[in-house]
Amino acid sequence: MLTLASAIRIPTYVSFSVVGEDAFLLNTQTNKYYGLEQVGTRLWQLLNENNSLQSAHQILIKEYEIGPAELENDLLELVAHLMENGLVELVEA
Amino acid sequence: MPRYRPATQDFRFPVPIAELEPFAISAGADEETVFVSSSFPGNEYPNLISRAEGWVASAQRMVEAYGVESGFLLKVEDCGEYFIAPHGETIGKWDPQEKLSQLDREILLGPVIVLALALCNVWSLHASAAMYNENVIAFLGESGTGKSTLAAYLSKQTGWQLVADDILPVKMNEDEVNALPHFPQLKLPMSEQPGVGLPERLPLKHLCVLERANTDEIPELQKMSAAQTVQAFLGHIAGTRMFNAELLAKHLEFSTQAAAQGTAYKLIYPHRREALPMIKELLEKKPLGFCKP
Repeated sequence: MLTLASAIRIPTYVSFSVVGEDAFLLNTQTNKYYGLEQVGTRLWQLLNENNSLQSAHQILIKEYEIGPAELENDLLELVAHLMENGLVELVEA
Repeated sequence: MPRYRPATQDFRFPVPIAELEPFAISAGADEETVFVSSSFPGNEYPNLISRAEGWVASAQRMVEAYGVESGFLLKVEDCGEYFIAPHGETIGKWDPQEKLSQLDREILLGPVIVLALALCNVWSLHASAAMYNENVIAFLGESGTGKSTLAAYLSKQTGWQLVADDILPVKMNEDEVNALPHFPQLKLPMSEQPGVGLPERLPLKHLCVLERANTDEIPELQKMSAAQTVQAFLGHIAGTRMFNAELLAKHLEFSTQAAAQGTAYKLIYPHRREALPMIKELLEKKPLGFCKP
């Protein structure tokens, strides 16, 4: 089950490019492109630096004026969506 | 072996291609054989890269792209097999004894050369283009949005010249996006090929994505965001369904690099004859270009 304690990584078959506040992701296994907007892009950058969703959550709380519970819901929903499309994967403990 | 230089890239073809004659270069000594036919064993096609249906040579056809050590092989439904050497330097029909039909030439100058150019980091924009003051403006849009009509109209106006009717190859040249007009426009007769007489490279000044509007609307240029500009490049480069993972990653890299060089515009384009002079005026007045000055 996906929680903030989950460790997440970007698979090697995913290419990405950040343009301003947006990111473009390419899953080279499915040959599909995806776009992320402001907060999603920031989360992507944080996940690229560090696999920890918990750490990303803490940083994003400071950067955006949003309550922790609301941010947690939004993050988990976004990460689940990224996982469905093969753009991130869970790191086995 | 005939040699041609479309879109700044040298290619060898096993047989002459009339549509490329304006871009012929003198044949030097034939170097090493870059494509070894025996590499394809019988009917075995290793490494299927992609299998996609698309509009190829005047019909909807299945195109299968295969990668092998000695290059790429494209199998086009009801047409035949075509090869591209590893870095795109030699392209042709698989059976060299077979005389090329009109259909073969359309395929060689369509998906095959588009893939060969991509291997050389040259990307084929599905766009028409016209030039004003030595600056190229590319018009992108879905089929039927009026790309060819607009470029053809502009090319008849003082100071304007047609650059491309359907495909405009582009590439990064340091920090500038170049349009490469030396490319056959298959929908135009040989006597009207726009690239003949133009320089090999020209700066791509504007990128305009045409958006069809109601006939009573006024033409308008709306600045697009950086992300929208990336999307415009990503969505309008031909042949991406044939690309392997490496080419797709390069395609993304090019699109973001190109978008970083400037701004694209959405061109609100009402489909009525009187709108064309208004669009011309808008484009001539626009102070900010796609490439940085």
